[in-house]
Amino acid sequence: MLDSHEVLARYLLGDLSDPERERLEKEYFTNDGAWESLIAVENELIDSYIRGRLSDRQQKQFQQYFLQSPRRRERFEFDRLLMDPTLRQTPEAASPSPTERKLRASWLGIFKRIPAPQMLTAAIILMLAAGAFLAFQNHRLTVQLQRMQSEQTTLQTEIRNLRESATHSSSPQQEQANEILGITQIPVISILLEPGNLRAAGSGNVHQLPRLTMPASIVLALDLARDEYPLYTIKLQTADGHAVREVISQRSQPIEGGGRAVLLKFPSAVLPKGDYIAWLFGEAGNRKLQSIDSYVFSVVE
Amino acid sequence: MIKSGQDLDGVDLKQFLARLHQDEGQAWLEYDKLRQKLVMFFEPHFEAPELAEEVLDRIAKKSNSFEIRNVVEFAFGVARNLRKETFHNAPSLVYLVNEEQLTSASGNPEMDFLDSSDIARKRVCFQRCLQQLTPSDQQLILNYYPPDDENLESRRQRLAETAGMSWGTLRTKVVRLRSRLAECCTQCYLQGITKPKMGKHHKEQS
Repeated sequence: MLDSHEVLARYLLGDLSDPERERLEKEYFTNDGAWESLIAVENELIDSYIRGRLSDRQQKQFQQYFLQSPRRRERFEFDRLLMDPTLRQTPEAASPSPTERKLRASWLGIFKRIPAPQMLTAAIILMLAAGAFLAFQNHRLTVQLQRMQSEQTTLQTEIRNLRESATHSSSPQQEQANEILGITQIPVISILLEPGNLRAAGSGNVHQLPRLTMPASIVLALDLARDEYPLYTIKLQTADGHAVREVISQRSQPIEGGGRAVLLKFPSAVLPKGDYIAWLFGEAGNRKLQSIDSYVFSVVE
Repeated sequence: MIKSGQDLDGVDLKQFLARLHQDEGQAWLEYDKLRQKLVMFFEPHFEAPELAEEVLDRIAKKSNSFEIRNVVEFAFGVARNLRKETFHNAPSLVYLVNEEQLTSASGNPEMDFLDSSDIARKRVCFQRCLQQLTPSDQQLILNYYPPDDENLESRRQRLAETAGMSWGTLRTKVVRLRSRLAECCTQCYLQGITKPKMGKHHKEQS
């Protein structure tokens, strides 16, 4: 039996018990109908999130669980494009369908059979109708243009406000705004991390970072044993697998005392107390990622 | 560290495909589908694609004399074991963290994602890939996903009626169209702005 939309949505939002989840997983592995339903519900979930149709609880689960997957993030972005009105064209206007071509041909046939005086009257009526249509379209476009100009002004005001508030603030969001806008008045703290492995996390032999109470920018310098790639990707996550930040296409930088490192910069507020792993990947051709190493560190009180 | 399954040698892969289907083209379709199911199984773990490859790799490396009655069910078993191994070994330490802050750098994953992406390029890819669908398919998918939210369900119902399909058939067709379009967009984005082609294994089957 196929699962209901609600059960499939709960699975995708990480809201099923282990036995329920395993039963559903076995079902979609072995039943293609169940698999297609799951994909459809995944699409609908993204659609509903974008349209603001999820409950508060679902919205939170969507952000905290569902969107952790890079593939789903890709899907999410794709759906935003799909629903973006500015990217829409009317393909039927460019190339009529066979039915429309037949319809047009039959209209032309009718015109050919109409006598000349009636044709003139028909032409005048058509011209009046076309004029009215063009006037309506013109009005619609003017309104649209005015709305776009108004939106642009609002956006510019928002950017100005953001810049102003960023210079007088210290909340995580405003730290983020500082970073985005290139305002670097806050202190920058750099830490060099040497590659380690996951087991080191339990052994006590871990880089420790004091949790900062003041706003600051943290720069993690991931020490490279060999600088073999032109570009690198860094994925930072908590020890229990939650993605914190991902940076792609970074070049290595020379570091003090020789050697090279790949840098990851972010506001200090991003990292509360806990253990973290930074995964380093080299970007080969076609942006294919090759795993290089992991760097473990803790943020302590 | 999870090993990527890309190092499968040709013989292993050929044997694996033969286990999936006698016809090579159909076997590739089955392989793609199994891989997608495996990725879904491991999500939202960020290494889900690598874990899926690892499962495929382990099955492919089984010798021909090893009898597998149902490859998909077998893959499910291997995936379940791998999930236990991976999740048992890696996060043996459990930390209480403020998840709201950790969801993303700014607390808004949508903004983070948009910030980190080359949106302009993706928009160009989207338009190019959309153009590769037939005009009627373009119209169908755009009408199924309208930008506004008004009477969405009844509009979709009407769309199915206009297209002469049942609601279920329309939904399946849209899912397939969307997958093709999404795949084309991904290829286009990764290749740079060159002419992308719709996946050869994903011809419309409706």
